Amino acid sequence: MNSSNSHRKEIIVLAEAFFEGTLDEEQAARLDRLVCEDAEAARLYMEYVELHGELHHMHQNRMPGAPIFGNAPDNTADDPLKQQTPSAPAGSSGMVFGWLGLGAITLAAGLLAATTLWWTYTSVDDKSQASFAVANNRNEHVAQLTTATDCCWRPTGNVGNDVGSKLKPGDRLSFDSGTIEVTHDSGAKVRLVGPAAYVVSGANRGLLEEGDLSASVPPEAIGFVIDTPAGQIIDQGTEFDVALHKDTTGDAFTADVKVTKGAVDIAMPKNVNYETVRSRFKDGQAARISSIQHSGTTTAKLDLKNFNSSQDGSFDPRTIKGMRIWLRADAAVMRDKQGRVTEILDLVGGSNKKAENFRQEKQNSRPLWLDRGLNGRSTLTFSGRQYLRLADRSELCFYDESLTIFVVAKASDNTQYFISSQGTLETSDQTGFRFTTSRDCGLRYMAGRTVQVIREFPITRHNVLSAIHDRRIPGKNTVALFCNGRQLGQIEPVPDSKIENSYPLTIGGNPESIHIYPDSTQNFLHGDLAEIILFDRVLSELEQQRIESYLMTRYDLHPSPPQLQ
Amino acid sequence: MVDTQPTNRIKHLVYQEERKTRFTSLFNAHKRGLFTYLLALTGDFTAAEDALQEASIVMWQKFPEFQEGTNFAAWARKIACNMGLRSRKEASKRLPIFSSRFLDAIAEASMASEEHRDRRGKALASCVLKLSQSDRELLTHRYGNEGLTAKDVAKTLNRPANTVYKALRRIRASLLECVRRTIAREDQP
Repeated sequence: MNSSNSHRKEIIVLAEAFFEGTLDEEQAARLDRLVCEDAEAARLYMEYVELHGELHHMHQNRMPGAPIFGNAPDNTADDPLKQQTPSAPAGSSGMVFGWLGLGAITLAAGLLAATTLWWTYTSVDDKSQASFAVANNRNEHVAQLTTATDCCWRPTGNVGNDVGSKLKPGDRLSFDSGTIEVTHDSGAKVRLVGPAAYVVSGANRGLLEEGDLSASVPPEAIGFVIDTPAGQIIDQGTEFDVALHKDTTGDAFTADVKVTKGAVDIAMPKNVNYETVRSRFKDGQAARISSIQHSGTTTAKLDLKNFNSSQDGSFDPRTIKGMRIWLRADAAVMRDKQGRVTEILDLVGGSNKKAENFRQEKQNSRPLWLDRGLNGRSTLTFSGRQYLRLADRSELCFYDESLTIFVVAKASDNTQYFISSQGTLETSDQTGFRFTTSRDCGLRYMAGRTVQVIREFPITRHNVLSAIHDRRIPGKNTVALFCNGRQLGQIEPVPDSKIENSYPLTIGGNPESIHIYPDSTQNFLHGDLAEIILFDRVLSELEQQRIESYLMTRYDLHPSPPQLQ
Repeated sequence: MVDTQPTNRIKHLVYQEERKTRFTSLFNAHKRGLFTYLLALTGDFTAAEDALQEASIVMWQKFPEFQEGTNFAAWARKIACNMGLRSRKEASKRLPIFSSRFLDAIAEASMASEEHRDRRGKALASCVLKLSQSDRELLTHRYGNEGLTAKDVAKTLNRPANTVYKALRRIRASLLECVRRTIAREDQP
C-alpha cells in the first residue's frame, strides 16, 4: 500500500512535532494509526528518525554515516583499545561498553564490577569516536603512508620508509627528520614534519605523540579526530595545524592548534573526574591547550585570534624575533577551585624548544587570578609570599645574552620582584638578573654582581615597565629603563656582568627568599601583573615601540609617563 | 583425572571468550539500527541512548538464550523495546503512548532500513555541506547542544519560534531529498 502525497507530508509534520516535543495526544494517535496501517508510512517515519539521529550524532562530533556506531566486524581479542575501556570480567565486552560512555561505564561497573580504565588522552564523552576507533579490526588496514621525504626513521617506530605501506591501528611512525603524509581510509590526510611521532588509531583517527602536524579533512571524513596528550581535536570539515610541545618534566604538554579552513572542536580535560570541556574554533582562529596534571584545576583556553584583533592594534608580538617568554593573565591560566593560579602557560609556542610554563604547586603560595583587575583585563594579584616559577631551569642562557623585558604591573612600596633568575642559592649570590621595584618605590634592574640601575618614580599604579640590557659589545654594556614608552633617565653604562640561570626563573618572588628564608615575606611582590614579555636580544626602537604600544592599547594605559622624581 | 579440572576451566574460558566475541560482533553490527529504533520510540536522544545502554547489558545477560541462526536484530529489538518503554516512563517530559502495533511496525521498518544505512549516512554528510552557511549554523544550534529543541534554539537566537520551526523543517526536508537523490544517482548503472 502506497502512501499518498498528503500522507507523506503528514508523517513528516507529525514526526517533526514528535522530535520537537510538541506532539499532542491527538497527533500521537494519528501518527500511530498512519504507521500501523501503512508500511510505507512506517518506512517514511523511520527514514525521518534516522535523519534526525544522524544529524544529532554529526553535531555531537560523531562520525556521520557508517561510523556513527561502527559496523565493522570486530576482533575484541586483538582490539588495541580494549584495554582503554572498562574491562568486563563477568564476560562482558570492553568494546561493547566502550562506546557507551560514562553512563554505561558506571552502570556496567556497578553490574559487572568492571574496573574503570579511561582513554589515555581522549575525552570520554565522545562516544561514537571511541566506537569508531574500537570498531576497527587491528588486523585491517586503515591508512596508508602516501609520502615520505628525506626521512630519518627511529627504531621506536614500527613502520618503515616504504611509501605505499598499508597501516593498521596501532602502527607508529616515528622519525627524527623529513616529511611524511599519512592518508587515512576515511580520506583524511595528515602531514608531519620531523621530529615527530604519530600513531594510526583507526580509519578516521590518529594520535600525535610528538611534533607538528597538518591535517586536511574532506567532507566525507568529518569527525576526524587527532588525539594529543594535551587534548583532543575533532574535525568539523576543515584544515588545521597542530604543534605539540612537551616540557622537560615530561608531565605537561601543550598543543597549539590553528584552524586554516572550516572549524574544529577542541576537547580538553576539565577536572580529575575526566569531564571535558569542548570549544569550537573556526578558520583564522587558533588555540593553545595544555594537559593538566594537577588535581582540582581547570583549563583555560586561548583564542589567538584575539591577539590579532583590532582592539590589540592587529599586532601579534610573536612576529618580533627573539621572544622567549610571553605570559598573559587572560590567556592559558590554570586555576584551582579558589581561583588561585596553579600554572600560566608560555604563549610563545613553536620558537621555544620547550614550553616555559610557570607553576605553583603549593596552594597558599599561589597568586590570585582576577577576571577584571585592570581596565577590564585579567591580572594576577600577588600578596605576600606568592610566586610562580618554572619547573626547571630555563633553556634560556642569560650568560652573555642581551635582554629586553616588558611587564604590565603595579606594586606597593619596598623591593618587590617582578621576574628574576638566580645562579646559586648562596645569600651572597648576585649572579641572577632581577627586574624589581626599588626601596624608594622606583624601578630597578640588576644583573650579576655589578649592575644595578634604579629609576625613581611612583610605581603604585599600573604601567608598562620595561628594561633593556644591551650586552652586544663587551665592555660597552648599557641598561635603560622605561615606563609607558618613555625612557626613565639616561641610558646607564654598566660593566660586564655574569648572569646565571641555574635555578628556575621566578615571577613575583626572589628565589633566595623562597629557598633560604621560608617565613620571609620580603622581596615578594605585593601588586598585580597582567603581562610579561621577554626577548633574548635588544629590540630596535621601532620594535620596542610596537610592543609598548600593543601593551598600552590593550590595557588602556595612559601614554604619558608618571612624573619623574 | 588430575588434569580434568584445569582443562575444563580452560575450555570454559575459551568458550566465554568466543561468546563474548560473538556477542560483540552482533551487537556492533546492529547497534545503529537499535538506536534509531529506540529514537523512534522515545523521540529523545538522551532517552534513546540511555535505553540502549541498559539494553546492551540485558542483552549480554540474556545472550545465552539467543539461538544462533535466528534473527539477532529482532531478538535485540524486543529487549530494546522494553528498555525504551521503561525509559519513556522515566523520562521527565511527557511522551506519547503508542500502540503495540506501532511498536511492531517501526521494528519491522527499522530492520528493513538496515540496508544501505552507511551509504545514507555518507550521503547525508555531503548533503549537509551543500547547505548554506546560515542553515548549517541553525543545525549546529539545534543539534550541537544536548537536549535543545527548536523552541530552545529560537529563544537562544532571539527569533520567533515559528520561524525556527519552519526553517528546520525546510532544512530537514531538503536533506532527505538530497540523500534520496544521491543514493539514486549512485545506483544508476
